[in-house]
Amino acid sequence: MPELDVSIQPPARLKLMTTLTAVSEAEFATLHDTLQVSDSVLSKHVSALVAVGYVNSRKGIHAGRRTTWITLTAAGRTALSTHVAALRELIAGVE
Amino acid sequence: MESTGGWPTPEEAAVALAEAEASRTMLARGVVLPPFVDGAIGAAIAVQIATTALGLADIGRWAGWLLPAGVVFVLVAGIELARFRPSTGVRPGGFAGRVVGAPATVASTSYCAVPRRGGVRTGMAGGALRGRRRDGLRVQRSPMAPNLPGRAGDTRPGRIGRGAGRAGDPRGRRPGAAAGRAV
Repeated sequence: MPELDVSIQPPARLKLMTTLTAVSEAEFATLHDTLQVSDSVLSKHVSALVAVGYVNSRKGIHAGRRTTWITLTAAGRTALSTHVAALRELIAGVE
Repeated sequence: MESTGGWPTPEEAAVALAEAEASRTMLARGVVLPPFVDGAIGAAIAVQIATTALGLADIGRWAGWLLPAGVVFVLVAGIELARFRPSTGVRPGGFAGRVVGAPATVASTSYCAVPRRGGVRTGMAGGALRGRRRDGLRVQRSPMAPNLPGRAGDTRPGRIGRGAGRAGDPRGRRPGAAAGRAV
């Protein structure tokens, strides 16, 4: 039975990682707008996920503006799949 | 909803999954192509197709334009890719390979290789054309088949050879041909 991942358990992190599965790379500002969380909260979650190797973060500059691009790693994708499977089993257990 | 203590209840898990899926859908719906991407890429592909068609129709004259046409497409695709990322804030997986490059990646690579081969083909085509008569009949020059029609110097009536049936040249003219015209 798949197990829940503590690193992805906060709903904001689950939303962040699930959103990243739709694209190869997303800009910090785009994620901020999509997830509708503050910059500081998003930055904290990104840092936590970077620390466990689930996402990568890189800096860039576009038109003189500093940008941060977030990418889901292969390990993060695997962890997300396992976590979602565990959540589905949890839900299926009561249905 | 930011509780991290303990495992979620089934209801919390269902809500978390639904919200995550909604966020993903929202991001995906927000990804749109910048204006004129389709038009620019379509025009570049049209240039390629037109150049290739002309190149096939008249190899020697247009083959040299195939490489510039391929370069035009690569240039346009690069510009559109560079425009896409900052305008949408995301880089979708496979956009370069499947959306921009898919219609012409292989074709562009092939076209870029064509001029080199085109020169060879042009030479071959020229050689083949030199071996053809104006009436479209192939002149047979094989020394291994001396009696085959069209052998050089064979001017017997009814045979296809150098000078046979040529206007104004009585050699090799079929019997009756002149009579037919005289009547």
